[in-house]
Amino acid sequence: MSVVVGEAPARRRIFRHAGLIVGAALTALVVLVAIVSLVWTPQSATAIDVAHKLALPSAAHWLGTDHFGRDVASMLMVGAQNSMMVGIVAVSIGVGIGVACGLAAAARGGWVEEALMRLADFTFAFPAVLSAILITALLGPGAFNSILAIGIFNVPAFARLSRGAARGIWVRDFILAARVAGKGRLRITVEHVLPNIASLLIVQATIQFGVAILAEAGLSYLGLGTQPPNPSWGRTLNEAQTFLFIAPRLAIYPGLAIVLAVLGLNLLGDGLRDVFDPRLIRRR
Amino acid sequence: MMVFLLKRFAGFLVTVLAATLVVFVVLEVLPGDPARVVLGVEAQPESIKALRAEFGLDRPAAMRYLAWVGGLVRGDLGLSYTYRVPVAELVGERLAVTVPLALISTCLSGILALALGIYAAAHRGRPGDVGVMTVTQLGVAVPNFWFAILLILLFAVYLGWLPSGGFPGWRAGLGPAVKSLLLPSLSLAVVQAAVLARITRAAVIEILGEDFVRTARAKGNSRRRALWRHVLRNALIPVVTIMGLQFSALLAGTIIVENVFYLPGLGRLVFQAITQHDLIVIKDVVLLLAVVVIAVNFAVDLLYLAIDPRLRSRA
Repeated sequence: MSVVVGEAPARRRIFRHAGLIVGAALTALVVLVAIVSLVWTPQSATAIDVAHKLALPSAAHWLGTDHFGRDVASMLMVGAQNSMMVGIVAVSIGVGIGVACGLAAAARGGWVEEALMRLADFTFAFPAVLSAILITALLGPGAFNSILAIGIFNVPAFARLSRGAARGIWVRDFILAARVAGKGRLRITVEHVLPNIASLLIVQATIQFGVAILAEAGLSYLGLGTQPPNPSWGRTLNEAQTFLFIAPRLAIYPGLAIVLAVLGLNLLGDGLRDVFDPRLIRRR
Repeated sequence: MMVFLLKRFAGFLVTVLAATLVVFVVLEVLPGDPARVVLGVEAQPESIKALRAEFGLDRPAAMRYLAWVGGLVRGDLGLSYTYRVPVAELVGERLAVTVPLALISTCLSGILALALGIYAAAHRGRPGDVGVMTVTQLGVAVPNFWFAILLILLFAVYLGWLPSGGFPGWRAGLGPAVKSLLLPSLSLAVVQAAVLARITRAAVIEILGEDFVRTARAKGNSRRRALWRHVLRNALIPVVTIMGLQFSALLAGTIIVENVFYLPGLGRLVFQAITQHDLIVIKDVVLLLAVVVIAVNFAVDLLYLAIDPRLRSRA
């Protein structure tokens, strides 16, 4: 390491920890809003009130109303719930299948590894939007199908990461000790490899969570994701675009919500990486 | 070297073949009748039967697959169900929008990212660096279609300088055509550049710490000269890798942004094909986009050889 350790001033280290704190706070806020929206929203998120359409923000409608007179603040709150759901399911698919494949590849080696990794490379050729288009063409648009597409897109990212990290663990001495002790590949993977790469996976899951939210917003914007009347940030943006000339504020709020949620997750991920692996801080 | 190239090319062909298989299996073999998808639920059995015959669905799947791939090789992409014109013609027209859009955005994002990344790395830890890092951190979180809407708000709604959407066609002249591609390219490029600038910065900082850079400086090269002659070339490897990986994201972004600006490109074509259940168009365009992504990644592999002579001797 050729970078002098003392070079990073304390100010910058605090700045980076501040990133972690801000990220955690933003993420907690979005999660909290999503949970609250399950039991309470200021108004109904789907009730149409054409008499009060495109109203300015007021005490009754904190962020005003849209072209159907629906309460924008309530729609955004339910949208948070939607985005969280998408993130959780899509990342779970990615982690579930991807990590299993990556660990198996690292444990088995040989042609299994080669085949799994070629498959992962190949899946990269189909970005979430493309696989979503394929799935939608077949099964029709819908929230479930879009989440499935994003989940599939997540698989290779986790497969590559966990395989690379697991290979680094497999050459370590304590693995050799475990093998000498007579443990099988599966047991070593579960008891020794997985715990050692868990922090890396948590960081990646946090980042992919944000990517999933962005992807779902894009698909919903295109009308391929969440269907009406369920509010989603992407679809709200699409509807707002029609009224860009008369009510531009409607296009601002959902976008800000997406940015805050994704920014929070990214900052949280970066911060966690620094905390889990302080050696990286010096290198950056 | 030659063997290496041939091996890579063979790998490329195998991947493309796998892509055709996946697209075909998903759209034609998995449960679900393409003819029923096209005609809707209430279609008469006779019309479904007629369409199945027209699509050749009464033939076995393997035959249909071979016929499709054979057609692709000859440049015959089939006939669009809704437009009743050859898909190749449709795609050709749309490429005149999508290709320039992708090229302009890639160039813009490359220039922007390199400038920002190198600047931040050279001013590491100082306010300029912190500023660049803050802005790019924010940029990574911004959805490109929202950024597109913000650009429309500023440049079309408030300032009235640029059109809010649509495409006059290249026959209308270079000026108006480029003008209508400006905001879409910008919305794709800026968001892409955010990620790339962070990668560039990290790569440049890492190379700056290498011994050969110190040697170059010790030989009396100025800081600036060392940066341009020695650091940049070495930092380009990770940057080009990420640019290649990002290309699929760019293409996905193109699909969305074309719809934001109502540009008659491939993205809009495939999107309309979905609403019209035009399976033939969907099949061809999705495959085309996948092949482009695969080809770009192949090109990136070759680009390494051009950037790093060491790899050439090893290959």
